Amino acid sequence: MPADLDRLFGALGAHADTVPLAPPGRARRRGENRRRGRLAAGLALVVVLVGTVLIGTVTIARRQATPAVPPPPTVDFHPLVPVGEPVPIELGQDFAMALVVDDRAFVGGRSADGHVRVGALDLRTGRPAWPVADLGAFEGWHGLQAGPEGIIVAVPGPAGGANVAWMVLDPATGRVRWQTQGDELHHGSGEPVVVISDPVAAAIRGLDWATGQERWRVPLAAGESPRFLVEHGSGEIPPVFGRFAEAGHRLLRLDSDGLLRTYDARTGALLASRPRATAPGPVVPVISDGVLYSIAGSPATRVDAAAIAGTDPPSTVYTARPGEAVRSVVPCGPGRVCVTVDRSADASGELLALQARRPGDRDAPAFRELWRRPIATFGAATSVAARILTTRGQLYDLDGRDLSGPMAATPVSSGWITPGSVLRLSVGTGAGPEPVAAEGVSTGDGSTVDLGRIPEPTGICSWDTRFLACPSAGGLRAWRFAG
Amino acid sequence: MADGDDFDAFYRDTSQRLFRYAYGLTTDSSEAQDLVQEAYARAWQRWHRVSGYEDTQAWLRLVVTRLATDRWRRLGVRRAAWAAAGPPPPVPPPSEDVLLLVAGLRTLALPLRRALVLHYLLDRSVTEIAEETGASAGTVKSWLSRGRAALAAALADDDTRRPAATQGGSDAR
Repeated sequence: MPADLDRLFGALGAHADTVPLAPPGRARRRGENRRRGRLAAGLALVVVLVGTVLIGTVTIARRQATPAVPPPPTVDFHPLVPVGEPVPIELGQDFAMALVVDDRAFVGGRSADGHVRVGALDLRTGRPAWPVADLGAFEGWHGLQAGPEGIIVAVPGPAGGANVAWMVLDPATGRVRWQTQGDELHHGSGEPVVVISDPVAAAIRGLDWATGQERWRVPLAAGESPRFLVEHGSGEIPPVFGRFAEAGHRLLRLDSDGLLRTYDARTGALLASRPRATAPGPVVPVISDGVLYSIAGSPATRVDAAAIAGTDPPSTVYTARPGEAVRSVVPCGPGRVCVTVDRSADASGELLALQARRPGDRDAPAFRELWRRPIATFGAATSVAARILTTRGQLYDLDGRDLSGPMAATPVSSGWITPGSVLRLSVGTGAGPEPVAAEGVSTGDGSTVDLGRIPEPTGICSWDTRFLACPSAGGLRAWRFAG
Repeated sequence: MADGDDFDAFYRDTSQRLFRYAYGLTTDSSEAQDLVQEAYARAWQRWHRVSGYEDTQAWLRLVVTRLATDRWRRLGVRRAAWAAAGPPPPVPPPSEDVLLLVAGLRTLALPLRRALVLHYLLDRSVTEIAEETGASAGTVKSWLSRGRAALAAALADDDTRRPAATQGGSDAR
């Protein structure tokens, strides 16, 4: 497809070049006429022109002076305000999981009786959106995903069948619309299909989101177990765990031999193939900004990178030192990649920043290390707007400056709200019914706002720009912290 | 008149490239011609300042982009400009490839279309597009990848020879 677009745009450009343009004198006369007010350029045009000039001037001035990029605005935090009463739902087995999606908070998990249950809180009214849904008894559960269009609950597949069974729930009622089985599932936010990898059917199947009817299928060779990926733009907030991600109607399929294929998720049409996008063997892939990073090796001791649109085999970005295992990789600034590693000797972790070599500087290694910082072990990192955030809430700028400062409490969970704001949950030394402290963090300077305290979560919390929701011993709880 | 000579030289050096941009953005040859004229007219109004910009062409493209979204202005001014100077001269008909691409571009939201045009028609890099639009490089790449995918889908929809249910390449059945 890239070659087709080159040809098509080439034709467009060539055609454009055949169009004769008026001589420069005509533009000058038009400008002079405008100055004299002869053309019909009403007040709205003047506003547009002023806006255009100002914007253009600001843009040009920024390039000429190369000032530091101002930090993005933060959320207007206020202390936590509970939203209604907790939705009573007991989810004591396995982990529980909350998800905030627009004006709803969902929670799912497995109860002591082994039943998987899902509840929902209407964040506008503070009341349950529907009665808790009992989906039946299962040996375990794999979590839930949700978006405005619905909820997908994953549980272990039946004996002798696929690994996972998925149930698609109506977000308005909590009722199961349809269910299916497979090994891997992909659903881009708002898209009309759910794509599953189905080893029993030996196919990748595109199923209608509303009905589960099959729309298309692509055969799978025996034993093939592809992975589905979603490309992420480094300027954007990382997709919230469990929330359907924007995928632009694209399905990215990575096979174990490193072949990366791109499909139109709506039709199954093959759009592109890219051999050798990863080295063969087990990898942990991450796609960002047109580059496929793969954490390779067992244990994971190497990070490779390959351009999605390229053909060259992957090049090694980082090779772990002895005693290190790579945990995560993420682009973190122009030409930079950040890697987190675990060190087995002292059960510690480190965050590294690596810089790509300058184009043309072929004698230099592909990537050189800029700095290292200690972080909590088992920590992953994400990066937005010239800041790097670890899963335990440590915040750095691109030069490795620690903006978190000493933390009195132990962060247990943190994540982006906006490019300028982070929410951090920490367990301090205090006891009592609400031992977890919630803070709003400004990524500009690391300053914090105390939002209050909440009961200890019994699973994974979730938030958006206004609401925080957590599963707790008393059920699903939610609070408003902004807006 | 040194200013006029400078402007005319600048116009001759850059107008075709600006027209490419305007055409890609609007997919309408006449519209694009008018926008280009208007952008240079505004540049001439403030030539002392604009000629000193580090990237005057980027400023012109910004003007074209803003004007392209102001439909009412376009219609009114185009009528007045044509009344004064007559309609533009006829141009050779576009090829099938051009028609295909134009139809596809028209299905795209403006940010995606703008990124694709800057990249493919003007050979601007991701970094340059990010600087010009004020977006992050990640966002530009997202625009480009989403734009390519949407164009591919639009171009595929245009191919009526494909089977209805399971469309696709060699993988699909």
